Amino acid sequence: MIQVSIRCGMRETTRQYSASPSVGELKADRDLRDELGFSDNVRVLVNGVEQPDYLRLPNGSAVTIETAANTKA
Amino acid sequence: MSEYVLKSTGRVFRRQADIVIPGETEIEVNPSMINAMVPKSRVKLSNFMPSPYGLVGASITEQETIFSVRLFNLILNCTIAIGDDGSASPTWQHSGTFVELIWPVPDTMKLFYCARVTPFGTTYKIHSAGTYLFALGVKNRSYRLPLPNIYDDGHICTGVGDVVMHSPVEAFLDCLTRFMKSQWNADLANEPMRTRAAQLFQFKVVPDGFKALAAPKEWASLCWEASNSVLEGIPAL
Repeated sequence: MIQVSIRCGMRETTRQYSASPSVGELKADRDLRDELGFSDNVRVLVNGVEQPDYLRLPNGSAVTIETAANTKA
Repeated sequence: MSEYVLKSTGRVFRRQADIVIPGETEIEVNPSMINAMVPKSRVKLSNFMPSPYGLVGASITEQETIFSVRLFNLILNCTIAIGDDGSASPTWQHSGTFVELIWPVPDTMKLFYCARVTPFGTTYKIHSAGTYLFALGVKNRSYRLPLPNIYDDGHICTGVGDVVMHSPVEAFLDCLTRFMKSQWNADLANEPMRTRAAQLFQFKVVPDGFKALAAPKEWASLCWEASNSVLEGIPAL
């Protein structure tokens, strides 16, 4: 099993997957969204570095989900 | 005797440490074991320093210090509209007559002002996008309040550039004081924000000024969920 720790603000959860999930899959996971409280407008960081949607997360990964900033109109 | 080696690749090896030529065997480990092997370099200090607006906490690593202060009152220095019934509500205009409204934070909300300070040569810097306002609700879900000078990710539009000072504390207190005394205006305001703010920030005219009305119990429904890694820097609540 692939285990990934996901933090969003003050909340954290650990999920197990049968295969390495991609960053994009994590962002689209409805259950994860409900549990941690995030929406479409997010970015996923590993050690402070934003990761692309296609990246597959290895076992033991710890990621942080942040709301992405908007820009002034 | 065995020793366990966490390599830069994130893979863990077991090594026979009591023989002259060590042999390594890669092993499967739980991530919690990896976490236990990584040096814990973050130091958190709760309420280590007073400020005019609350006790300050800090979270310190080699790369940055995150300061946070829990606010029990939010000062809204803004333009207002007064209704015939004596109600008063912020209008968030750029110009006009500004008044200072004191909004008591509801009991069910923990409101934090945070700033990320980084070393900058021999000084310390808070980036222009390095200060944040977050409301924490049930189960520590984090929210952005419907205010006009806050970006989606919770960072505050301060109207000034980077702040550089000779000490991290000095930089934080400068930004905190500026935040509490600044005027709120229509930058980043939009209709959804205005609609929600009108329900959350309600006041009435009283003989000596303005009095806040109790915020709705379901205040979270008037905010947007938002998060940033700066929240990890808030010491234990």
